Amino acid sequence: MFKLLLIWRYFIQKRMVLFAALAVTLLVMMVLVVLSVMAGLLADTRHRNHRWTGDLVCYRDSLVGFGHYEAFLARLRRHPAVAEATPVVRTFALISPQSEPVQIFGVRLAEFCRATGFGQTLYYQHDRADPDFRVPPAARRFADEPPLTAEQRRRGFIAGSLLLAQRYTGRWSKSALRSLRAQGLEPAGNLGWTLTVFGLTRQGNLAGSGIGDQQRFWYVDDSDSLLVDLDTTAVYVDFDVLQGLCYMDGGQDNLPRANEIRIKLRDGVALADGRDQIAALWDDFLRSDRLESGRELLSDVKVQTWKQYRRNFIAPAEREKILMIVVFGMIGLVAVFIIFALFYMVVTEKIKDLGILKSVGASGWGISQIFLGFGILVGWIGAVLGTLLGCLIVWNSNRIERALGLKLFDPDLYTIDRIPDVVDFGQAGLIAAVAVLASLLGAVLPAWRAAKLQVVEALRLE
Amino acid sequence: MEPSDSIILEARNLHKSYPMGRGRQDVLRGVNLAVRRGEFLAIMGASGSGKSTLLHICGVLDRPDKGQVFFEGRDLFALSSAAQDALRSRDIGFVFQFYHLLPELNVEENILLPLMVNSSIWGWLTRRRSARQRARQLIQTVGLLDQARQKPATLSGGERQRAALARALVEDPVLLLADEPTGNLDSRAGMGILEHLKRLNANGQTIVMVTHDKDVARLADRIVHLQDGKIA
Repeated sequence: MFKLLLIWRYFIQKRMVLFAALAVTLLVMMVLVVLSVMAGLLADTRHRNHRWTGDLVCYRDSLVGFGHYEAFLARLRRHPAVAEATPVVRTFALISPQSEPVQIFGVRLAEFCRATGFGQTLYYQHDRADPDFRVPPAARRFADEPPLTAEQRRRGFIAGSLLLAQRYTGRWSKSALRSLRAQGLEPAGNLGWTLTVFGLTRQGNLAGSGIGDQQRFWYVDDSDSLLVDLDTTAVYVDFDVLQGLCYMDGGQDNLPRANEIRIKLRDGVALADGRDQIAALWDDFLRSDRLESGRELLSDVKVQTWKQYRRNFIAPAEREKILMIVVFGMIGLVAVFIIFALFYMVVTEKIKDLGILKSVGASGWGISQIFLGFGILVGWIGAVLGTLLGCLIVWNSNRIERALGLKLFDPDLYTIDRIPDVVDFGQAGLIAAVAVLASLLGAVLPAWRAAKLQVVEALRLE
Repeated sequence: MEPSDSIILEARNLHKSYPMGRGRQDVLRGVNLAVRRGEFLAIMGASGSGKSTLLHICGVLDRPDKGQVFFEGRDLFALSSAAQDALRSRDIGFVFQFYHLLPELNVEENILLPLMVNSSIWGWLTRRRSARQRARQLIQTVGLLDQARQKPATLSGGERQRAALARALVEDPVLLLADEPTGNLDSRAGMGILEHLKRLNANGQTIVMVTHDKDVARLADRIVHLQDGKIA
């Protein structure tokens, strides 16, 4: 009983101890804020990459692509784990006349939006059930030109948001895009890009004339995926149009080709399980007797999860988070030493009290429990206050930023327009538990010293 | 030879030395002492003669280099550390020259301290009422009713020593050891403490008191002198 009484009295009457609790509070708060923001940024990065990619990708690194994709798509669509699957042609192109290089994706837009979250990134056709590349009837290059033909009206394009802004304002900036829209940028206008695409034969040689094939496309929408590598370089056009332009439509060798198949798994199917099932399906497909030609293009096709497919873009954020944990782990270690130093000072100051306690029959273990309990109390109070303070700061981080007139992440420079403000309570609990443990560790040596104290020596100190 | 029934405390051939420079200084050199139940014994000696060391060893606050101390027939230094702790809290009460009250606790809490040390949380909850009554009774006996809620820092030397005396008595110990109990007090306050001790002894309390003051020692039933590390 005396232990509880003394723990509490030492806590409320010793300013040094309040400083120790304050140190723990500040440490917990700081770690919670930084890790919450880092975790938020990482979660955003993952979400955006997942949204753009879909759950699984079946692809080949070579731009030549692979054949028999329709047959495999038919199998995929019958598979119980698959909710949607869609083919993609992926290559590079130049925008005339500046010959600006871009990535170009040929997609069946409605199907692609069902297989991925691409529809959420579109500006005009945001989350529409049936988005398309159809060019508005009024679009034309010059006012005196005749209206577009039905064939031409299939050649709409969706541009990466920052690519569009840069091309017309010279700036990779969202505000530039907003001012473009204010000046009349819209799909019904006459904005058109001439794209030069270099098609490849099955053998990997330049197809057609060998100097690339040009075609004019009309702007129908833009995509703000918040993935810089795509928003600054990606152009999306109709799958059939690009497949034809790349000589991948089977016109010459009767083997239509695609570069990727994007797959959405049904709800409840775990990502790794889904990947294993689709990889097994692909292996089974490869053994099929009906694949008469183009087998050489199928051997190195991979089935990957979105995490594997976009690992180069997710890994830096994950590494940053790990680095932060390491850095704050080291700061935590410093905090343990601060607590240790403070407790050691408290023990030194209270040595006579410990002698008195021993003289009235307190055991060495009982006395060391006072300091261990003391450590737990300081850690617990610091952890609770730090967690509360950290949560308040994280939840109100954007308000605080506005109130201070700051802009930590300039939306013109970063794809982040707001500070992540979600606290992971599991993580918060873990940080608090580590803080309590650290405080306990800081108290162990002083407690041991207190337990070993010789009564007479302690009482002689006056 | 085992100590007789009327002997409550017996020290046999106690030796104790302390490091001094490169060597050691002998403080006790074969001290033999017996204290009878109900006796008021005063140990006198010059400063540094080893009086306090002898008292600390008799109260298991310190260990002798050699020799034995029997308390109610038990060899104190053959007991486990837990048994020694229990003995200090229940059977032996201490009064020190410098009071040694905990500054964080008020007078009543300081007096209750030995009772709290002996209780688990549950045990304390069940005996709290009777413990408080016992503390109140002692507070009244030593005349500190008005100061019960005060911290030691606000009390006079005499009041602190009376609080320390009440703490020493709260577990109704068999033996009270007092180390220069008036050494830090003015004569009036010292007299008050001595009157308390005398009254306690009259009620059967065994007391061993260390002092260098002949007038103080005169109140005891028996006086022994410690000289050159031995009982003279």
